[in-house]
Amino acid sequence: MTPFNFLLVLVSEISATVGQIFFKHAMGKSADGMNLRSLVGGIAFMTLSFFVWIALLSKFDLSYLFPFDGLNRIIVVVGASIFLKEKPTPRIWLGVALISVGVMIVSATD
Amino acid sequence: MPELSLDSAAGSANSQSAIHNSQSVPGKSAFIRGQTVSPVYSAAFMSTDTSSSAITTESEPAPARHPGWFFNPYVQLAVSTLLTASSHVFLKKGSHVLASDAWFGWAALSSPWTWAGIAAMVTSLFSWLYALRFVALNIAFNLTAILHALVPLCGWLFLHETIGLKRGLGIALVVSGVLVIAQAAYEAEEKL
Repeated sequence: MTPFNFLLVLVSEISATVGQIFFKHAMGKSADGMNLRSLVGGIAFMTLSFFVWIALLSKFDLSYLFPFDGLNRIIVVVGASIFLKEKPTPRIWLGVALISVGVMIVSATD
Repeated sequence: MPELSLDSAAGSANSQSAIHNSQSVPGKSAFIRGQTVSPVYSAAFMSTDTSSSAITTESEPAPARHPGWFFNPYVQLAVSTLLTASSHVFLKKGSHVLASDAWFGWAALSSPWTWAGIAAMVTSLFSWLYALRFVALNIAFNLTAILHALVPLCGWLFLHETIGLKRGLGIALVVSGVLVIAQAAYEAEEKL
């Protein structure tokens, strides 16, 4: 994998994470209704992530790309703690570690 | 020691009133909105209207939960996850048209399975957004990792795909991770 393609993977994963953070921000703030601007932002980042992912899928096998989905979970927990002030407990980190390793094993096999 | 017990008593009283507020506010605000829509009422209740808007703006950031099991955010998380899993199966079933087509598989749109997959995907987004109102992102997002077990299981059941030993091990790890996250979610809910 060339550095450029690795950059594309990072762009896809990080924009998916940013999209989720926007979604959470849109939904979780007010007692009634939602933050429409954040919702549109979330959809925009999700769309970007989707098309970059499709472009990558046309070059690489899904099983080669899928371990990065394990990486994604770590990025989401870090991003949520920075931007949403969610405090990840040690138990959450343990769960994330188990899931990430599991995802990597699943995608390492055919 | 007495200070401690006082503190905890005040804390529990606060949380109780918060719960009470969150249940009563949406009904109230809906009623108030109903009044302002009608011009007669809005003219007659000018003064009450301004005081009521103060009530709605001071409402706490925690969103109100609807009654009934269907509106339980964790039920909606499960709905969202099941819909996503079935959308993957539907899209796979629709993709057999794709093999002959080089261009991102627009041809797959001719299959009703593909449209079912898209519909399931879009519906799952709504359940997901609803669940996000109440559940922390780091918990909700990692609970959906159960998809990594659910999708291969569906592939085995409905698409006659095989699951090898290594893959089974990975799936078992993912499931145990999700169980740990679920425990964390349970603890977080206990604290509320």
